[in-house]
Amino acid sequence: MTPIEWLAEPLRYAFMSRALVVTVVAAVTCAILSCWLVQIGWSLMGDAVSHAVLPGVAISYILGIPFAVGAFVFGAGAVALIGGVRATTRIKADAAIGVVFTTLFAFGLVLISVTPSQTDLSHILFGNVLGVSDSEIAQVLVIGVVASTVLLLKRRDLTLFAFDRSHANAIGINTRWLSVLLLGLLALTVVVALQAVGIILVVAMLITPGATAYLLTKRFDRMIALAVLVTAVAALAGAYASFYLDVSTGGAVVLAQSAAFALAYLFGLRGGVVTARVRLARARRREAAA
Amino acid sequence: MRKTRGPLAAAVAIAAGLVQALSGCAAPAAEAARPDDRPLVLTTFTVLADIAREVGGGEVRVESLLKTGAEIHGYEPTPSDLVRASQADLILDNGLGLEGWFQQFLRTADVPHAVLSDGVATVPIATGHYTGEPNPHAWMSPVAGQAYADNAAAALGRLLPDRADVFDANARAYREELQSVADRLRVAVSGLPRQSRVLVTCEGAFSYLARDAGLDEGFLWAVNSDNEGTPQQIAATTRLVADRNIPAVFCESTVTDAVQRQVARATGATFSGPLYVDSLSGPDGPVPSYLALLEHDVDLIVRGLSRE
Amino acid sequence: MSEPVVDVRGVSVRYGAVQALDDVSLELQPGRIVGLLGVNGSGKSSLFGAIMGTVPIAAGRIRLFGGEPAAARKRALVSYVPQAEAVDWDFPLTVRDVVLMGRYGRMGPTRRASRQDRDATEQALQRVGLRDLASRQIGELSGGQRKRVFIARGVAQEASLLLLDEPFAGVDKASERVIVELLHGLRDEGRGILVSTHDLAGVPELCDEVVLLQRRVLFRGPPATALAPEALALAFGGGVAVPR
Repeated sequence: MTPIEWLAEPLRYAFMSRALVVTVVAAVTCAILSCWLVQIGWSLMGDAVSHAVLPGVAISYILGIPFAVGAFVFGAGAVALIGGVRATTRIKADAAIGVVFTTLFAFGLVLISVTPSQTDLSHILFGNVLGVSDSEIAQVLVIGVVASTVLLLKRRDLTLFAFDRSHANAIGINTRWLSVLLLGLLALTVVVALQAVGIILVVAMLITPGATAYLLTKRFDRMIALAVLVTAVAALAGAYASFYLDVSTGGAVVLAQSAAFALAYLFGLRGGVVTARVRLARARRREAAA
Repeated sequence: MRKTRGPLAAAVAIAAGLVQALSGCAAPAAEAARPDDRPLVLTTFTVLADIAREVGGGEVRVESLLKTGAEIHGYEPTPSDLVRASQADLILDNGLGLEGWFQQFLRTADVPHAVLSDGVATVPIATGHYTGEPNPHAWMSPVAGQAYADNAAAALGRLLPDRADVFDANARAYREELQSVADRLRVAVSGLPRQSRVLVTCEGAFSYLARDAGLDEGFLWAVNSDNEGTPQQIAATTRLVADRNIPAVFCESTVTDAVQRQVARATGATFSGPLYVDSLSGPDGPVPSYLALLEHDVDLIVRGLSRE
Repeated sequence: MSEPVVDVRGVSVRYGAVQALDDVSLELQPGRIVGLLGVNGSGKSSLFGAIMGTVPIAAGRIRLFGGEPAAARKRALVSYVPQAEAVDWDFPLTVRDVVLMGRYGRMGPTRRASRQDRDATEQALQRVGLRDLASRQIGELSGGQRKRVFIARGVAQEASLLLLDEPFAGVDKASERVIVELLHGLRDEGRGILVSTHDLAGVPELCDEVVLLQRRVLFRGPPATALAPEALALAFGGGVAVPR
């Protein structure tokens, strides 16, 4: 098979081209958001929101409404609950997050066990990108584009918020609103991504791209661009791998992102372990020669 | 010491009372109505329950562990399920590896038990992780279903020996009805154009039906407990439908049809469904009985494949 | 007579049952540097927070440039120079990126930099002597250089009130001198500078006036008097770092 044929073969099947679109849109949206999540330290929050949407998705299917609606309600609700617990008790952030999202997740499992015929648990947990309906693709595209656009338009304020919240306040920026915006976008992004990789793996898409890009550059703007680029390539690579190796698409995409991280970890120009050792060795050699 | 015992005892009493009340609420309403001293026959799923009812007549109480619509391959029995099972007088299951989740219980429980697929000529699973093992969906064949009826009559006869002849008579009548379904199926399929005689479904659950009817079989995945809907499975099925110009593809009621609909979209075949396999519908639904299930499925398949 | 840059009258701040500030009054005139001196927990950060709008006031009021603090912040008149400990030095930002952030208050909603914004940034970098390091990631800088980045941010912002938190922590003596000169230059342009620290080092050279804070204002006066051992012992009973 020629390389062109190899690339074109999966695209002959409608289910693959649809899966590719959903996966890439979801991955890119997550990648943009992950740059801030990774810097602020909200990775656990990403995990929490992605699990908390389970009851929302189940209820959506039961009521026959778009899954995005139920998922967003519960995602945003989880954030509000977490905030409420933290504001009214001495419980630390990670415990508050843990209690809230596991409760909601368990509630979702119970709901699904009562209505097994209307909800397919394994598809919600692990994604069903090979079987996305037209309505689901539409939701993914619209929400993905909207979320990405808002993130990119507000990227400077969000970066300032992540870096120096006090200064943001000092120049009159309403940091509470920025916080709400960021968390709201997190909920939306989770809604998009769960179509591609399912609830369990969404958090990977929200963390790995940002972590990878962070190892590759010292400028935040470039970090966003790199995260998007690396993720898009990984999403395509993962989807193609799943086709030719006949394995889970969601799993393959996440593994591809992890492979990118491993490469950055070892060879990244900014902080790669191997690169650093090579540089050190060269410097030592130069010193010895001098 | 004395002071704390009071509140603690009260808490335990309240908790015990709550548990009692809740489990009382969960018990089926029928049991509260009138004491029924007929023996209780418990089957694993609704299809077997219907067969047992037909053969048993009114002599026994028949209940199904799984509710209608539930997925049988990966079912997780709840504690109340196991309690019910231990209180039954006879348990009837399918066998052939369908109810893996029940085997542990059956081994250790002290309840009479019969496997309804005993003696059926099995069809091996062709692809996937369970290749070579017998396909469990033997009841989808109206011919094999007759063996189910006989096995049920035998088991019920052991339970109530003085009604054994009633059970045998019921089983004979039932077998005739099943045979007429089998005959109608063969006739209908032979009326289809040769290249349309391919049944494409989600799960490979129709091997026995296909064998009886003279249909070729195609499916996305072999068994529901295997990988469902991998890219190669979808690609292979899409190619099959496209190459042989199959007019219709089908899916069962207990699995999501999203992937099969993709195949239909891609090839121009009509998506038709649901076919009922692992479960009957409710009493007001399209397939309230085993016979209705077979007739419904046959009808849907023949109509779908008769299209151009 | 121009308005004071900062006018704090009878301000109290409470966190639940804890009284962080109790009836604090002070003034910062334009062209002056006031040092807020106090141990950790004396209420310095609460006062800064009240000025920046992150901490609510239980009693009293604060005026910035004669008006509501929120209005002054909206006009980008207030700049905050954080203490080194509080900054994530691994954040992928260059020196220039951080200085440009000072201009956000004057930019549109998407914070697109205009020619004017870029010029102000370059001039600020030039002024603090960081032009050559402008493309470095902030973590690559020394302690003194790091402090100058945030001062440059305030300069680029054209802020009239600078709030400095622990300005000399982690800064060597030579850099300290450079920073003092820089701040004096800014002060002479008519800005008001409020410095908060628990460390006496550098305070006498930098500040025109010192306020000793321990939930209430204990003392206010020129550095020489405020930092005399008698005054300090009275105020803190030995809880303050003595300059070497």
